[in-house]
Amino acid sequence: MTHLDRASLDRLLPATPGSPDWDDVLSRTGAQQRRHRLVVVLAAVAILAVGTASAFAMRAFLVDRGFIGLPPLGATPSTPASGELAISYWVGSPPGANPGRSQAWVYTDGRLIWLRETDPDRARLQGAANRWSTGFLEQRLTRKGVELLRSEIVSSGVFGHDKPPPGSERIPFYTEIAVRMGGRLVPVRWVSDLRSLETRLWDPASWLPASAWTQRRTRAYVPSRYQVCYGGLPTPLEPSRILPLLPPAAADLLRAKGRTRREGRRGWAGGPFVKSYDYCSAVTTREAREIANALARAGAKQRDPVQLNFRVDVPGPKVVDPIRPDDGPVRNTVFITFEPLLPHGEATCSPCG
Amino acid sequence: MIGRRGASLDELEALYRSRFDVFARVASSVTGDSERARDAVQEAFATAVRKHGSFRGEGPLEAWVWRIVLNAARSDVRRTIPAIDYEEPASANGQPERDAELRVALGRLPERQRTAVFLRYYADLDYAAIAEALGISTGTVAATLNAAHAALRGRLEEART
Repeated sequence: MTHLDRASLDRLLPATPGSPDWDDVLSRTGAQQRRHRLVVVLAAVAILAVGTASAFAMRAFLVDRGFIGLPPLGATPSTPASGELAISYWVGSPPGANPGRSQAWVYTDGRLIWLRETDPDRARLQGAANRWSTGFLEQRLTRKGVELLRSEIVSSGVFGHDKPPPGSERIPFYTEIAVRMGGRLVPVRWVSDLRSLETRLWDPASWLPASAWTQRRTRAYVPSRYQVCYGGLPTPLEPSRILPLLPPAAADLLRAKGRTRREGRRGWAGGPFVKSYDYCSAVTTREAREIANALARAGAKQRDPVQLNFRVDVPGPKVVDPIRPDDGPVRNTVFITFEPLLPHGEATCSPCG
Repeated sequence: MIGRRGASLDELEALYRSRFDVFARVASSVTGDSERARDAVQEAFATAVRKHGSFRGEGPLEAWVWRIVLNAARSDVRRTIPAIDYEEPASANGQPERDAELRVALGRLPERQRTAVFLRYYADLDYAAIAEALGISTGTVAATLNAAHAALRGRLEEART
């Protein structure tokens, strides 16, 4: 039976027309769901108001809960894709609240996008993506709501001084608050009452009036694009060394993208600190999913509960991590991180909270 | 085996991307038409996405998807007149005569035997996965393939005498 080999059967079968089209699969899913939903709605019309059925249909496209990494398939991205930042802040929890850190970005179009992390051994986050993080969430303010939030910061901030004026306190290095003034984002360096301001920024829903919201209920922030960064750890590497170590599908996508070099320092409180760098590319959500899937198929594992990231071992001799010399030689690795690109075009560092 | 509940959509997408061509070409052995086979695969994966939570993990995910793909292809055949033509000459590939004989012999197999042959020797599934895909027991897979081998051997020898 020598004919029954794959090559012989391959010659007999007609070529597949076209290439794989996962979006088409998903659209068919949607079509089927819509057909199914239509049947449900027609049946429900007899007993329910049309408005109730319409509300049900809308919810099917939104994600109510935050997520880590990539959005569920078919989730509707936040619109508009881009936005102008009006306020940004990164504050610690006030007394009495669950311990943690909260980052938020407020846009002139009213979007309030935020992320909160906590120590799961000390507190529990309600409705969170997991025990550590809410994931990126979104609410929507009215124009008045944005102005109320901005006024709260401006009225507490002390501007126009190089040194802290009497009666003010300096914002510590681990807290960041910036507000748009005169067409640019101005960092707040001194405030009249830091604790009060942090308390209000921690939970705007606790004091902003109902008229400040067009959508007070939190939903997941679903980005349109992601920032994929890759570098060597502990020894930094150039893309020419990194990309050949990645699965071809991931490497080809990243190779075709523009990239920026991101420089920083790595170390522990008390030192030592060493210079470090990696490279970042902006990709669509679909491309990010292709890269992540390729890495996962190649056996790379997600390593962090608050960020989608992977590590790939670098072959060759082990290296000494200059910030942990006592550990002796360790395997150098390539790390690949995925962060949502926020509407103003920047990504944050989820595990930095 | 202790099963798990549900397949992740990422797993389904990865399977789709890595095996699309195999799914579509084996489906064409059922539909007899590559366009309709492609459509059956697209519909089948849409079904798999909608029903991913019902995958019980008692066998490989791929076998579960194969079953959906083959059902979609068979549904397509039931809706239309099969356009398959196993008597046509093979394409120019250096072995036209031998391929033409095999094409005709495969075309004369019962559909289950023919599908089992493609799943085993083209899609490279093991007996357990073929059993899951065809909805039959592993023993029946072995019997089906044995019957297919015997029929093919007989027809190929007949063609050469």
